[in-house]
Amino acid sequence: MTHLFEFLANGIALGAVYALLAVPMSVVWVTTDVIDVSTGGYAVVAGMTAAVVGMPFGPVAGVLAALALGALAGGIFLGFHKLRKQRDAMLIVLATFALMIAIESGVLSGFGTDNRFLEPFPGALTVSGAVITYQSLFNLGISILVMLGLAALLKLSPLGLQMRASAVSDRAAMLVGVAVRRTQFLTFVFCAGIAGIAGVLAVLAIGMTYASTFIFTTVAFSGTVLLGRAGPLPAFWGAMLLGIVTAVSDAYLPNGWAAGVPSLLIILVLASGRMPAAAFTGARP
Amino acid sequence: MSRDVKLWTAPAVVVVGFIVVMLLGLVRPSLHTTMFTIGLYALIALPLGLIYGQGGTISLAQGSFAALGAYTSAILTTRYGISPVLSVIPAMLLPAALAFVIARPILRLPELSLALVTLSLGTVIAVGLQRGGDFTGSYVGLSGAPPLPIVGKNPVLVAIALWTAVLIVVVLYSHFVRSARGRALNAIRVDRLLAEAMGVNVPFDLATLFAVAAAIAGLAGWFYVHAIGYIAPDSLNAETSANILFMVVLGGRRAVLGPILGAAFFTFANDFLPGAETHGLFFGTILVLILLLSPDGILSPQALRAMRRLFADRSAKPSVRPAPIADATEAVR
Repeated sequence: MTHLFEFLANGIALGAVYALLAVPMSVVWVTTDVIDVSTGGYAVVAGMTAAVVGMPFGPVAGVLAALALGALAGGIFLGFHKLRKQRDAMLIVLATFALMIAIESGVLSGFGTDNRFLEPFPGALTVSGAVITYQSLFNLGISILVMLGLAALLKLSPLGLQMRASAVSDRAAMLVGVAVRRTQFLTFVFCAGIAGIAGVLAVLAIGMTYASTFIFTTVAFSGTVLLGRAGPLPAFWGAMLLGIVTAVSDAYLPNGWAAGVPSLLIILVLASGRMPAAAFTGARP
Repeated sequence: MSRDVKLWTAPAVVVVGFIVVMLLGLVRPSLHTTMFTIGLYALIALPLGLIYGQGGTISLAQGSFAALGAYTSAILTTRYGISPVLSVIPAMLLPAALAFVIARPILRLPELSLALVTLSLGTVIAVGLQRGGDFTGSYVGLSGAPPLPIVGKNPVLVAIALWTAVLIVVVLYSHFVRSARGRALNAIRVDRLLAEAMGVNVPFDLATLFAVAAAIAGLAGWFYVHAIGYIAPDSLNAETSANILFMVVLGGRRAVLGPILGAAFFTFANDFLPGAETHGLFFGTILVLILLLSPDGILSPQALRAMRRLFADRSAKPSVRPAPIADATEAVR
């Protein structure tokens, strides 16, 4: 029982990092109708930059690098709207997929194949015999803080209001004077920043290589669709669930099999088509 | 252009292109190996072009289905001594059966969710292959698969055999898209509900195509393992599936020859570009530009029209002026 509690705690800590990957993808999706597949790339660039620069400026440099890449993705998004009269969201998704390939290659060229990490916070708590590291608590705390900040931004700030208006209907938002394209561009940048924070936490907690780009994107996407795409909150819980399932299956399944469990979960949940629609209000993506 | 000419244009281009490159291979023998790689990718990409370009259904499991076909044949030939001529049947049937069974519940999902599910399916297959112990060779894979009879290890004969399969798929593809079933597939892409209202059995049609695409990928895997003699979990994986999607989108998802052009571009670029680690930067940038400027790929009707206009302008013939009114009236009649 103690072990299970410890694995659950580890899963929550992992899910906290996953959540900061899934939530920005979800926000971009509901605001722009586009899945930003390069989200994993922002996280890896931020994490790698943080590891190379080191403490104390590494995390800031990492998040800034992620913001710059978000601006690039936003620029590509605007390019599609400038050049195409008829909008096809799938083309933009494929373009972000291309951007992810380019980012992964850039990370490989710039940082090599080595596994990079930052020294995690030392020390751990013992609760009822279960060991919980301070790094895990830090990750969870940052994740909750970011979610609270995001909620405040969406509910209280003019930019949040414009993002919500764009999410409901970009045409209606344009008609009432919202600068929809600028808002969508800023959404890309802002969400890349959140993914950058996830990258910094990941490099502290688990480390990363250039190949993590694809893995992080898959994690973000899985967390986003697992419980429906109603908004950031289902994405947060979806990613948490994914983290817990990964940690628990890592602990209890024979070596190597755990890697397939999140994928199996995704297949079962999406193929069943029942649980999310009944349990959550969000439209199925 | 008459219907027959349209039907046979793509196969003719494949035959001529193949002969030209194979002749160039007499001067530069490495081209024969390159042709094998292009043919292999083309064989996996062509059915994806059909189900995505014509049917609007994305699959990121093509590489994994190819791996399944390769492993099936490798296990049957190395463990049980079955001839590769016979093992081709289960190598195609197993991926097809798996695809058909899972198609029903997943093919009703929207594009992106479907992409995720097929990618997840690929991950599950990869984990199964990695953890299969001695049966699948675990992380090391299986070696010692016998070469194909007659063809052997001769790169020219292997390329001819593989491209014959590609040609057959191209001919079937060309005929299919102009058949009633092909038009039904396009109707599904444009409006699934309307297609159902018109009497198209959407779940069955899509599931069948999904299974056929998996079977052809399995055939490619069979070629792969018997040409190279070795298969490992990393040989044909999720990355292969993503690259295959790249080839289809780049070459032209709506054109029969699009996936082959994409496969050729990808292979030649991989061969000739320096520094393997920077290839992704090149491919990513090219793909973004193609999607921005010609969203349906290099062989899209839009891009072809632009090229035709360009050549018409270049030739600057006086005859391109508007026809006299009398001629125009005649043409309308």
